[in-house]
Amino acid sequence: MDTTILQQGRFTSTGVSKLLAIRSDVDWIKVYNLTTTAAAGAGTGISFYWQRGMANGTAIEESKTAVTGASVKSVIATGGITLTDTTITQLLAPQTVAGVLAGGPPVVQTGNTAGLVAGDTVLLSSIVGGRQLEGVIDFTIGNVINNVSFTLANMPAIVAAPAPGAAAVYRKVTYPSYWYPRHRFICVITQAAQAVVTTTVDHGYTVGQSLRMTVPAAYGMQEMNNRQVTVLAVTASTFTINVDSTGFAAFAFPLTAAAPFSPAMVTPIGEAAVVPYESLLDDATINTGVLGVTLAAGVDSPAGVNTNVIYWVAGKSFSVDNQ
Amino acid sequence: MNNAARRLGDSLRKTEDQLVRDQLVATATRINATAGVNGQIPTEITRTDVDEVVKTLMGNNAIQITDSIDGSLKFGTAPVRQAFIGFAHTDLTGSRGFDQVQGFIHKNQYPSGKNDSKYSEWGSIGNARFLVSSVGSKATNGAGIGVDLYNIPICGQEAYAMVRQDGYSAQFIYLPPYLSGPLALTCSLGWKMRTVSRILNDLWIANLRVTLA
Repeated sequence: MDTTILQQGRFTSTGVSKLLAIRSDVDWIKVYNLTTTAAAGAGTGISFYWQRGMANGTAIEESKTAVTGASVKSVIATGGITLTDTTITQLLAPQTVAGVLAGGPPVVQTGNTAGLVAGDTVLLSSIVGGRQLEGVIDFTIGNVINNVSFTLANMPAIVAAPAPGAAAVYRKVTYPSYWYPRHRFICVITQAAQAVVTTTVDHGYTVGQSLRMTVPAAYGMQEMNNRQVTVLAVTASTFTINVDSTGFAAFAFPLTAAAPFSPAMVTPIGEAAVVPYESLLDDATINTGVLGVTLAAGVDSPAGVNTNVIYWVAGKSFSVDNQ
Repeated sequence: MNNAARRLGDSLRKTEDQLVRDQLVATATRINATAGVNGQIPTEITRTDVDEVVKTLMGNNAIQITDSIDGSLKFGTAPVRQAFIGFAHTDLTGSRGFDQVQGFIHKNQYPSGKNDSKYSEWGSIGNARFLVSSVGSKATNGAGIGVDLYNIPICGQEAYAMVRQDGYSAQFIYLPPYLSGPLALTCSLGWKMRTVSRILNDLWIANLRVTLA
């Protein structure tokens, strides 16, 4: 029974960290980089090992020396293997925000963009002069200029908050809610024969999906509040709905003075009257939570670099004694 | 063995509880508390915010879950309105949570005391009664640095349901020593379950988001 192997697998690295979903709560994992193992001595990691009791993000690495190709073992303190539970929405360490420019989309100025890439999700806090961006509304980010700024990709222009205060910070959201599809916050609704809705985070909805619109008074367009709508077309950040909003009051993202206010949001509901129901991904109650490990990417990390072929095997120990 | 089974039973139900709560929080419409004075977004819970949720649910024809409780002649008690039910984190008990709200009635002030309340109930505000649990929804630092955020799903009747699987819900599994290892030194005891919850009508549930006072 001891050291039962739970699961094994392989993947080809894309040069970014890799989340492996492993059932029954993994206790140990071995990772083999087939590409670097087969190559001549190159100073790169060929195998990695981690077990419970070791700190998250660490691993025992076996790497080849660049000259002789002999293997040596070492402990890596970062860039290793991390236990992961995506049902816990994790906010990374806060980073100072120096300013928020009106833009279109708005630009968040910061001296630290480490770990951010376009498409990530962030939360903003304590933005004096831009409090409408708080209230736990999350944002997909667009263009990232290293250690200078990033854009709030889906947001319309706002009144700038050039001196947002010493406490102003952003934090990266590592995992969103694990129920799919997720409710999203609305930042734009057009006045059109078929209204187009933009969400602050890319929505992931599908054509035919039923949604509920919630539009608090602070946003205007009260005619849209509480409406059940159907998605007619989608892009990553927008979706078109079966509502003629040409005669509606205008929708406007509130100004900082309106805070605190409740967010305008869209909530997935029900199921489309189309078979097969199970393939539409339009049910609002699918649990997408994952338990497993995250392999960091890099030359001396278990997920390797782009095109590396990685094999792994993970297991469970009957008992764990970390005394 | 009995002690282990008791603890596993607690674990099973808490897991089930947490899954349902997380689902309600993930899918229900959010209403931020806005009438408080703590300067956060959302603010601390106030009577105005609870009334806003109640008004929203009633406007959507949600039916309240509990009946009203008539007043009694006991000192310090008060009648309790018919109410929707909210599920809150235990952090919201006390003077930084429910107790500071205008019109809050602790369950020990209900006309018949414990006979009128649920074990996990904390009290009522207007037309909402609140149950608390340590696995209630809480986002640490969710509303800013050092400011935790709490979700309180408030429901009407039939807002959501647990769907029973055909003849299967949960199992306790005991493997005696002679099945758990070659030397029969240890045994194992565990549980597994299948559970499906569904929001039946999203109009009959609202998620009130608050911070501490």
